[in-house]
Amino acid sequence: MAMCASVYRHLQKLVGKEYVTRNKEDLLCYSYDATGTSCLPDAVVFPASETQVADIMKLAWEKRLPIIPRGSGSGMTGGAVPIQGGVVLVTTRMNNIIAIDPENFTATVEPGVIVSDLHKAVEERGLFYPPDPASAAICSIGGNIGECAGGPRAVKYGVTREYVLGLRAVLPCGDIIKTGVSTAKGVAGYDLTRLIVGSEGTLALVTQIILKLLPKPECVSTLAVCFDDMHKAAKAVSGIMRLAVIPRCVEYLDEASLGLVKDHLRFALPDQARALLILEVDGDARTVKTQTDLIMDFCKKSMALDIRMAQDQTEAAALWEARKALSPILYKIANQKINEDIVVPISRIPDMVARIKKIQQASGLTIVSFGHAGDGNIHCNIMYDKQNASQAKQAQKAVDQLFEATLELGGTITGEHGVGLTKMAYLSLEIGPVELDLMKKIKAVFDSRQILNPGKIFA
Amino acid sequence: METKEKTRFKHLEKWESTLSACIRCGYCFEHCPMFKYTGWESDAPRAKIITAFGLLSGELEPTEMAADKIFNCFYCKRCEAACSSGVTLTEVFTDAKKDLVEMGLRGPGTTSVTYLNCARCLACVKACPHEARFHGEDGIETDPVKCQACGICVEVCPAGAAKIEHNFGTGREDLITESTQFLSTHASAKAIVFACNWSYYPDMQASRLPESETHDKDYEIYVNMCAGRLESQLLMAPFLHKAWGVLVAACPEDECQHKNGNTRAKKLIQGLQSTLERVNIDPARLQVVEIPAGDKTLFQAEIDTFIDRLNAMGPIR
Ligand SMILES: Cc1cc2nc3c(=O)[nH]c(=O)nc-3n(C[C@H](O)[C@H](O)[C@H](O)COP(=O)(O)OP(=O)(O)OC[C@H]3O[C@@H](n4cnc5c(N)ncnc54)[C@H](O)[C@@H]3O)c2cc1C
Ligand code: SF4
Ligand code: SF4
Ligand code: SF4
Repeated sequence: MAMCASVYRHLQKLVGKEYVTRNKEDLLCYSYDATGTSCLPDAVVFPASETQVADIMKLAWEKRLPIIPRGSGSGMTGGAVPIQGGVVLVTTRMNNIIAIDPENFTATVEPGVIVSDLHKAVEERGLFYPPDPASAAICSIGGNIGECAGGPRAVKYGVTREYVLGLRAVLPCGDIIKTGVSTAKGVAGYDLTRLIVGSEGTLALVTQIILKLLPKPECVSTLAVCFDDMHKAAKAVSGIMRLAVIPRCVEYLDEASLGLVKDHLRFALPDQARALLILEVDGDARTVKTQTDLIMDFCKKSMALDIRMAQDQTEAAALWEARKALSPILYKIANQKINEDIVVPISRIPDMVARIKKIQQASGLTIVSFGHAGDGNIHCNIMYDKQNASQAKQAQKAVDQLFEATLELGGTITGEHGVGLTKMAYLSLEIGPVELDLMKKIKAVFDSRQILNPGKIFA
Repeated sequence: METKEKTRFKHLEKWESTLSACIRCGYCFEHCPMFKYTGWESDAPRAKIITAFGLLSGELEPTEMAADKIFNCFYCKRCEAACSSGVTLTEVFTDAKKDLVEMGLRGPGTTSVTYLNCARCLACVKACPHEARFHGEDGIETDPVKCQACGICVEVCPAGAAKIEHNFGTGREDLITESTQFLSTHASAKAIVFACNWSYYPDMQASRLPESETHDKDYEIYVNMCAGRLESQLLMAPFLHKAWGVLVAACPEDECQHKNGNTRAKKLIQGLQSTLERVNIDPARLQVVEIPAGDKTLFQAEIDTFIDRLNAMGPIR
């Protein structure tokens, strides 16, 4: 469905000629996100304010034009891909950090603000915004709201949802709403804020966000612990959590991941190393010291091969760099990957690890898994050659088995990447028909014309 | 994407597998000065790879606009350093440029051009670190494939005839306007820092702070691409607007992407330091520091030291 000239002219009038485009050359550049799926929009528009967003929405509502919200396009499930064409609405120009309030521990931001910019801005003032997706240097807060992004620190601090106090957003019909509070508590009416966070841009277009901040922890210590067996590592994780110390991150890397990142590490891994845990503890100096000691003791008892503490910030940063390099580097193994971010209850991690191993053996493919073990979130990457039909089929089968195992163990099929396009087919495995129906009805209440990010989440 | 028909992109063709190795993660674009300037994905390295892919697969026609995008690159190679999938982006762009030039599409994008007032003094031909400038049939010309938009020819040309038209805010006029504006609107302003895109930013990438948070800033960082293109007029301008000092960040000598940018900058600054001395201004108010690729911590430390030193010296009387 190509866009008619008068609608395009109208868009130009709303935002200014230089902030809307329909050149094929530009459209192609806004046709994808980090999934590799690509679909051309009819136009791309760059509003600068909430008023402009509302005006665009009103026009779209009237003309029944799909609007696809887009931050940085780093999503892993196709959320920002204009699968039914329409107008991609990019938030890059709405990049103001409006206020940082150190007295009430809040920050008010526009959706286009880059997450690591926010980290930097608040940390300079002794404050702390915990959610830290590996993509923080590029992704937008709006996108984090869309997907309810998590990150390593979620173990202790939770995910984006926990830090959103209130929102301003534009409904598909163009009305502007304000949800939530600017206080630490608030229970008036239904919790629309939580409904919108994680809705993948299908309910409302977020235009302003009030975030909760914390005081910046005084001290952080970072540990790297090797094991000769993935199962031992997994058991150590659930054991540590039972010690009543909550590290702020517990990341784990399996054998295949270690093979990929060992060149990025600053220390040599023991030959028998088959799994690595990266742990971080934060708080005041005394607590950090006692908790670090507790964890080190426990790891020794759990037969860790090697335990090392980063001596300074640079060493810790190097460890995280290696972890950050992992996701992109996977392509060294095979040209195609199916990335699943499953979550299981922490106590079931050892079982899940065993199940993954079985699935891997049965499929004959390489499966690389790593992730935020502290909250049971495992990034499972099934690697295959896309030119090889039988491998592609095996990979698909492996995904089915993976989800089956996850759900059997009481888990969920997506911890932080969302459903988008790529997990649409699996949603009904986890969500029952009554609940699905309820969700679809909620969508219809917000968007009876199905114009805001259509064709996502529900098959 | 499969290549539909026989492609006209003979040079680009060999990158087909590299192009599909790009996983579109976006790690590259936070580093690109063009993206930071315009905020348009289509100016970001990831999009240029997609564009190259589009051209190769036939999905995109080789239009002037597509060509202009590919010709827009300062060859700072920050994107390559950031890409963990090992995509050699600038090599891909260079080969795409070769094909486009054969089709009669020459950008110019960021490549330098020569205006009619060229005096044919050959200063640029001698200075160009990439042997991109030559005396051709129509006077001094630029080979658009070889040119890496370092801007050195713009700096050396005595007639002001060598120009980079799309400079994404890194041209002399832009930098002078921006830095003057900063100095005149911030009572607390003390220093201007010019950094090449390698030595980089310990700074915000693409978001803006409220005025209340920035009104008491004492310095501002501007990216000038290669230190080799710094000009005396640019470096001295802040002093005319009450700056206490100017700091220049360049790559270490053997790391300069444009061969001798670092040494050029040092020479220029030495000369300017003696000028300052002659007018009784402490030459330490103009300094150059070497920062290895993306070492943000060192850069911040150097800035802090510089500001401390300026504080000890006080304003210029
Ligand atoms: C290498 C890599 C590592 C990653 N690591 C992590 C990780 O550790 N944890 C994690 O959680 N994710 C991770 N991600 C996924 C991704 O970065 C996050 O999902 C991120 O939140 C997406 O932000 P974005 O700005 O790129 O959003 P986009 O991809 O542009 O959009 C994501 C979704 O949000 C919607 N949206 C965007 N802006 C708005 C708005 N203003 N209002 C309403 N809806 C909106 C879009 O429509 C879309 O559905 C990673 C991705 C990559 C490529
Ligand atoms: S960093 Fe590399 S893989 Fe990622 S989008 Fe850029 S070019 Fe592609
Ligand atoms: S080399 Fe520099 S200017 Fe060119 S695309 Fe990469 S980051 Fe951008
Ligand atoms: S000096 Fe630099 S900008 Fe000028 S032609 Fe040579 S490479 Fe291009």
